[in-house]
Amino acid sequence: MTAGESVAAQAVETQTQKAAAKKQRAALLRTVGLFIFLVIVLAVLNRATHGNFLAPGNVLNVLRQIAVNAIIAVGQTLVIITAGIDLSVGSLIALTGVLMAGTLASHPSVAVGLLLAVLVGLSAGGFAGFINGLPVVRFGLPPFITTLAMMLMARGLAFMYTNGQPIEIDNHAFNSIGNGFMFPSLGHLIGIPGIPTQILVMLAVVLVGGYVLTQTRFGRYVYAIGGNEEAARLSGINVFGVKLSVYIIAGALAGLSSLLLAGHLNSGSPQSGVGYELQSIAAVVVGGTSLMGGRGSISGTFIGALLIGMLYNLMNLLSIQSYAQEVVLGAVILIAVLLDQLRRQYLTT
Amino acid sequence: MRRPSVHAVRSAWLASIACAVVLAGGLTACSKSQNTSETSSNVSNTQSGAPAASSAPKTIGVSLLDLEAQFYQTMEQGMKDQAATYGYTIAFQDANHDQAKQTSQVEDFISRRVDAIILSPADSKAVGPAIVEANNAHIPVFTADIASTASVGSVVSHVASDNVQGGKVAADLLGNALHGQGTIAIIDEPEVTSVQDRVRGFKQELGAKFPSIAIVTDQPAGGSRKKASDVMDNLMQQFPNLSGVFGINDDSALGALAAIRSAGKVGKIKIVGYDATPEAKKAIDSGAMVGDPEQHPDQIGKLTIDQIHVYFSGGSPPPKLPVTVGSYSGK
Repeated sequence: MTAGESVAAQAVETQTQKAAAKKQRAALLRTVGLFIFLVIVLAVLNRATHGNFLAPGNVLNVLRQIAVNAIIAVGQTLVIITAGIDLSVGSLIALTGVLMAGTLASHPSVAVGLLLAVLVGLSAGGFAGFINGLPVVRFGLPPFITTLAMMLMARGLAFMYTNGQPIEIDNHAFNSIGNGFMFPSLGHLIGIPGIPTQILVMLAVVLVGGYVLTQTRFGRYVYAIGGNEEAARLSGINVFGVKLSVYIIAGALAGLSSLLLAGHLNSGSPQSGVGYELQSIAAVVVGGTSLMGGRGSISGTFIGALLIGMLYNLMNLLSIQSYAQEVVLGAVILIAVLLDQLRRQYLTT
Repeated sequence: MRRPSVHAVRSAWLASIACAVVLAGGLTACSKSQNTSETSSNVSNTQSGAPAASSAPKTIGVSLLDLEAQFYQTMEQGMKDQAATYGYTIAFQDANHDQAKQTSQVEDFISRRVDAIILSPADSKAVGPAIVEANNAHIPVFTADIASTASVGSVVSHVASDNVQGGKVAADLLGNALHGQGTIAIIDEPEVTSVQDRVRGFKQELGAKFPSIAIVTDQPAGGSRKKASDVMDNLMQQFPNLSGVFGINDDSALGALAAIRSAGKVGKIKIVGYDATPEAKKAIDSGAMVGDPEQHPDQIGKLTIDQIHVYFSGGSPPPKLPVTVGSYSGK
């Protein structure tokens, strides 16, 4: 991959190519094995829930329920790959949610209200991300501290703005982003009113996020900074700009997910999003992204969010008590990360 | 460093594609399984010759505001016991004050095709869309303790304490303790609708039965113990002859008690709270407080299940069912 490798002796080159091919075959085998394993697990679980788990309505339910977490987790992935962390996203969901609800309340025109609210939500989130990132890149403050401060400030501001009361949203266009359906003809094929807009927004964010991270120069810079920030700086990467952008993106995505959440609930509440930062970190970590930075993927994060969402859904379908659910979820996070670590050690030796 | 990361990315994408295929496969597989389950229920219908309603055991999905709170735990027990007597299956979820979580739980109930849903909304307004989803799936929704005030969604029946009557109980307790004479204060939390009802009932009863007792002030303290204590400190400065206080919940009453205790006025200023929590009961037993209106969450739970039973049997339960609030004035 790097220029240095091509200089190496050709014999070594072919040998490494062979080894790489072998590794790829092993990877393919593993994927096929994993696939068969997954099919069996899902079939068993589907049976245990009397076929409710894989019913089209429920599959869409799960995808819709993970939309908010998956979207903030995409931003969180970028931040974590640069070896940072964003603890403020949960509070930003509350703050941008009440700001959007307030904007909608003061603009009765559906179109104007919608436009302004979306603008306010995304830019407020992005601005908060800027405030998160600036002390990190300019003064070298730990992101844990700056985003912890933002977590407190944003939550407090949300309560101040609303006097602690939720603001009801009656803008139908806005609510339909969180509640509505698209492609009704596609939905009728499987007996549902359509594909929930939330899911489409989430897939768009995941696809764009995955593309940016793997196919663009910006994405490669994000990995490079997380791998070795000093080396990245010395090789001419604009570390200041890339890192700051990552926090702004995370903040704006919190605004976007808040838009879906507020629309879905027809309400902007200062109490919403409590603990969501930890949920998003869980999705990122289960997805195989390293908290040390430099390594990770959006696809992994999406799978992490999907896995966590499926678990919650399954436990609800199986009537597992709420207390036990938290225990199971904690254990799954631990085991998933442990397995990933073991696999990685096995691969490198 | 780079090579494994690219590798990880690729295998993760492969895994994600695998996942998508599985889900897609599931979509078709499940539509099949759905058909079979439907036919099997048809078979059972024809066999028993009775509507499915009476043959299969009914399932009720419940999502309550906060299952860590004693109040809701007692309500949960009341529901469980009553559901058992009717032979209903019942599943409980903790909304943990998060409306998004509760909405997800409702969606999962719909996926399971439960026969009825009981909610104590996490957010009286934002619960609306969840109720609409249940309405669209033709699953009846009942609320217990907290009502939905959303402009959308229809609820069959709401079962909750009669807080106006509970306020009257508080007025009787305090009025009798003061022998119909004196000046009192209310430590209030006017943002909460159930508290508004309590205070309304309290004032009505006091005006009707104890006209010589004057309410000199009505101070908000957010239902918080610390704040209630601070408010009480100030009230004792402002009104040295104060003879009684009504705290709209036990935290307000116990906060007032803390201040009264520091001022050495225990027994001189009569205190009535609300809820009869174990801590408040202890204070009442020791004579530091007069008494408390006592809600019966187990009754709320039991009566909610009763309304569902009425509904399942083809009757129409009342849209609102007030549950009588009792009185606790010591062992």
